[in-house]
Amino acid sequence: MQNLKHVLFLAVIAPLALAACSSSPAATTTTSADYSAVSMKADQAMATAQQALRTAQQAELDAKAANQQSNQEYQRSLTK
Amino acid sequence: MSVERSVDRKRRWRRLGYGKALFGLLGSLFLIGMPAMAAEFPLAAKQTAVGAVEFSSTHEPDTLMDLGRHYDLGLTQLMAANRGVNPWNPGNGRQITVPNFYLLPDVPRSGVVINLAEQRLYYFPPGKKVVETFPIGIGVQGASTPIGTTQIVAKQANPVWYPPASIHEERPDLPLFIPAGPDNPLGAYAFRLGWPSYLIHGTNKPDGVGRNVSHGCMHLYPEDIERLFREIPVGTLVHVVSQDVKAAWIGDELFVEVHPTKGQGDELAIDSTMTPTAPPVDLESQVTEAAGEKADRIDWSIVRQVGLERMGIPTQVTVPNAISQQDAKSRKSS
Repeated sequence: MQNLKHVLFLAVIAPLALAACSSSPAATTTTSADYSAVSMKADQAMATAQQALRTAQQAELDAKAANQQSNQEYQRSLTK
Repeated sequence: MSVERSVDRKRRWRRLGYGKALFGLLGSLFLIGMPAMAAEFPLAAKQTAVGAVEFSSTHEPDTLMDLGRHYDLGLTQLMAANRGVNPWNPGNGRQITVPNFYLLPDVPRSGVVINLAEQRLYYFPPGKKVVETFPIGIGVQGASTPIGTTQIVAKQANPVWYPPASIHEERPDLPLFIPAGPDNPLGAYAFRLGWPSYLIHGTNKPDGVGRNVSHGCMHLYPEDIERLFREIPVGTLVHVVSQDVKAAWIGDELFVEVHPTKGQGDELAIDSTMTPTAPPVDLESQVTEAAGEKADRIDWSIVRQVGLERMGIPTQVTVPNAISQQDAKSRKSS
């Protein structure tokens, strides 16, 4: 009797379990696509930020050099 | 310099016997139109230092040059104590160290004393217990002022400038002479020295005070030369020295003052920072000599730090008496 119950239980549960498993890959695919899209956007944002940082660093270097040059010229202008 | 180090240094300044350091901001300070600070300090017979380190707050649109002129300081001196500050735009409400504190140079206290290494002139008026001190502009690298003793041989108001041949070679566009007036680099007053072609004079470009910009002459802010012109008679001796290290006892503590090299001074004026160099080679021997029998009280790590930083500000290098006595007691008991 007990064994029969087990068999019946398996007979009902097994198809349900198989159906559940077969539907999983579809859900995974959707999440992965979303992740890829977000990741790509993040990479693009990072690249843009890095480029902006490089531009800002170069601008800072240029400004420093210009400042040094103008200070040097000013110092020279003070020589009698 | 770390904040800790800065606080430690402030504590040291706070311990001064005389010339109490003034703390706290002086508030919003509009410098334009304000009279310059007094450059005269009372001087007792055995006194070794004058003045005090103060702190000020910047206020737009003042530049460090404005601040220097107000406090009667040169640019290098101000920059050495305030590294990294943009002299043209120090910002609003920024705390600035005003290093108006000096160990007196190790020379006889008479007449005019010029210490090229600190770009500063000291005048000891005869019969008065005071010293007057002013920042000066000096020669560029390679155009040094002679070291030694000379005297003032003539005083001239509204001097005419005759550029010497050496300057004409560099700048053939210069006229044979420049009459008195706003274009005259000698300013309104000049002292002629026993060394021909070296003068102490005013300037038409006050921003050059505290920099290495001349051909060997020494120039002062217009208001400073005007004052000295009234006070210093012809015949006064002028002692020119170059002491980048000064060491002296103030009460029970030994103080050491080390100035930037000439190259570092140029860097400070141009970059607002300076490349560190080794401490002066004679730093240790000078400090040892000044310490005499109390050399065991010296904290050599502070001496080395002062030599590396070259801030131009007297800094205490001895362990305070009470602490060293406590150390001695604990050593005895252990």
